[in-house]
Amino acid sequence: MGSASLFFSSFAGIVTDPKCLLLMALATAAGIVVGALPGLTATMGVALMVPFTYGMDMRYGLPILMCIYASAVYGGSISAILLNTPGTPAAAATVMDGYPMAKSGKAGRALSMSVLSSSLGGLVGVAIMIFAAPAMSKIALHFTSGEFAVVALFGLSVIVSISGESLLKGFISAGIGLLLCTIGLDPMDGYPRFTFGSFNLYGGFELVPVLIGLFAVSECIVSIENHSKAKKVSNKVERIFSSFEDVKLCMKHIIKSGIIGTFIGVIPGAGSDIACFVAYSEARRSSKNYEEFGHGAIEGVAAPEAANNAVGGGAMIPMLSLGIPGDPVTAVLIGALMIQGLTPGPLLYRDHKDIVYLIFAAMIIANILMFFIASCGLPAFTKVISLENNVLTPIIFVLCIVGSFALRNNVFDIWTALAFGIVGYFMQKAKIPVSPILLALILGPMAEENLRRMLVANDGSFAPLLSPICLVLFALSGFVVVSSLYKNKQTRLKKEAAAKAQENK
Amino acid sequence: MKKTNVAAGLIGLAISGYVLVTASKFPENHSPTDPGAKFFPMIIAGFTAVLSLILIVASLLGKMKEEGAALSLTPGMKRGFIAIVLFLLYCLLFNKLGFILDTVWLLFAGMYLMENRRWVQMAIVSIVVPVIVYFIFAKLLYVMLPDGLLSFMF
Repeated sequence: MGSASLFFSSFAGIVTDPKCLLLMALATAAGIVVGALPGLTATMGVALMVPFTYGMDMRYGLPILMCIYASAVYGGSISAILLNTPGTPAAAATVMDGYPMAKSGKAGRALSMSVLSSSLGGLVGVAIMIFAAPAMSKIALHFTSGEFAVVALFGLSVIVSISGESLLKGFISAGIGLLLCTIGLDPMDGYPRFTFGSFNLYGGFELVPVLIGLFAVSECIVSIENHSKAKKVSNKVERIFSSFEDVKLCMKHIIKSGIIGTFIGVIPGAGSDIACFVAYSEARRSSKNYEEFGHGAIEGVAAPEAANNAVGGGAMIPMLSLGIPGDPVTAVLIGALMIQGLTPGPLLYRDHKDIVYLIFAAMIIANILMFFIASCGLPAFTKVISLENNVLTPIIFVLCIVGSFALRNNVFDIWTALAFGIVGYFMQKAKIPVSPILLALILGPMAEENLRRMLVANDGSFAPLLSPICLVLFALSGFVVVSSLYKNKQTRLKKEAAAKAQENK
Repeated sequence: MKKTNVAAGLIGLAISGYVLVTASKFPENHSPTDPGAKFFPMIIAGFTAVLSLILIVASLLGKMKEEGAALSLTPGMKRGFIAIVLFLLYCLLFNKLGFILDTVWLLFAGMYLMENRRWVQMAIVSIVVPVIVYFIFAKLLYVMLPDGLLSFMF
């Protein structure tokens, strides 16, 4: 059977099967809820569904998993926008502009744009996956320890553009984050660093409780502190779909972020949590409204959301063609395929092309389905949030605790969430940005492990850092830093000019 | 306020200082080409220490445009501290009381702290929410939330 006709028949197979569509719709709805709840991540959602799909036919099981993946990554943006809390690490960059938009009554616009960018970004990822998989998987093979270390450095360079007003504080925040990720057993020789005798710290702090603490719990404390009897800003959703002007403004960012997300997804181990920040940084750099970023720029919502869904398509490339997971979710998917007796890798394309095309078709339909289901759910989401703060905030705190606990069924994680909640609260007081700590926690281990591994594998030589890929990444990092510094300066000059104009009035 | 920036800088300095002192005692790796467990922490700590110093000096010289919030004891901040104490108590009692009972009192106390006086609403929310959450997470998703004092029921 020719490739094209096989693809279309897989596509038709799903679309003409009402049972499949219904299951996918249910999975999408469940995925959105999982993503929106702080503490439940996309990886967890997919992992929880895998045992259920074991007994099912692959024709239903795989599309269900694809739907949960796509919708959970989108779902994180709902709580990011409405509650200043990323529902999944992938939505950590969405809070930066999403929440300011919600605070000024524009939550509907932010949510609509998030749905649109997530679906379009996901489709961009799938398109690149379908057409460029062989070429890109060759690139993935060239990544050795040196390249991974420089990828981490590139990710860290993005800190410059998410530090807001004060670069110095941003770097201090990142420094503290990098120190925090050294807690635990040393990656090379297993020496316990800063564990204070507690075996709970041998693996370092778990990312999800730290994320929940820094963003959600601290926000709960702030909300309690700032509580007043004043009426909440009303967030009515007047329209479900984004306006034409918004779409026009954001489209180029969506496409670009989709490409960025796909490429980051291809890199084994780098996932949506890095992609969202890189896309945000690039959107800020290339936008005409760069000074609005951080204060409610809709492009600042579109870019990370497009990128984090595009990672799905990108991460599938090394998974399907090489059997190497592109991100944590694809690692779970490899397990799901192996349970069914299929081994991802080059042979999958040769022996089970129908499964590969099923995945392609399922991902396309999943993203389109997500667009419609999520759009219809928008009024419902904003209704939930319109509950009074004095009822909502305690409930959110409890969900945070449950989410932190759910990861490892370990009480230590709820203490982690609370501790970082207190830290995050005081950081907000001191106007020290919190996102750099998160980025450092994600990328720090990657940077240290791979740098040391590279040194050991190359007899202490730093030469592998001069490979073509590394040099490209160094150049990109330098470019990101310089252009962000330039933008920061432009923003400051614009503000000063505006302030002077106000004075002269 | 300047003080907040200086305080933040001092904390950063303290943390970096502690790391520098502790990490320097980490053993060297047997492999000659691996810089060892101390390498990364010490470099980062040094970097953070320098930046913290710059923050302190710049704040004292009045050169920092980005000021922290004032650290005065407004009623809001008092509420904030009470909230932190409540949350600490919640975590301490998590295993002993069990999830449901612990959450019931916390929701009630939290809502009361936020000036909610709608007793019926508070009562309903305090009881219904923990029960629903428990059943979804513990029974549907097999998260092992502690039963505590209610363990005779499950």
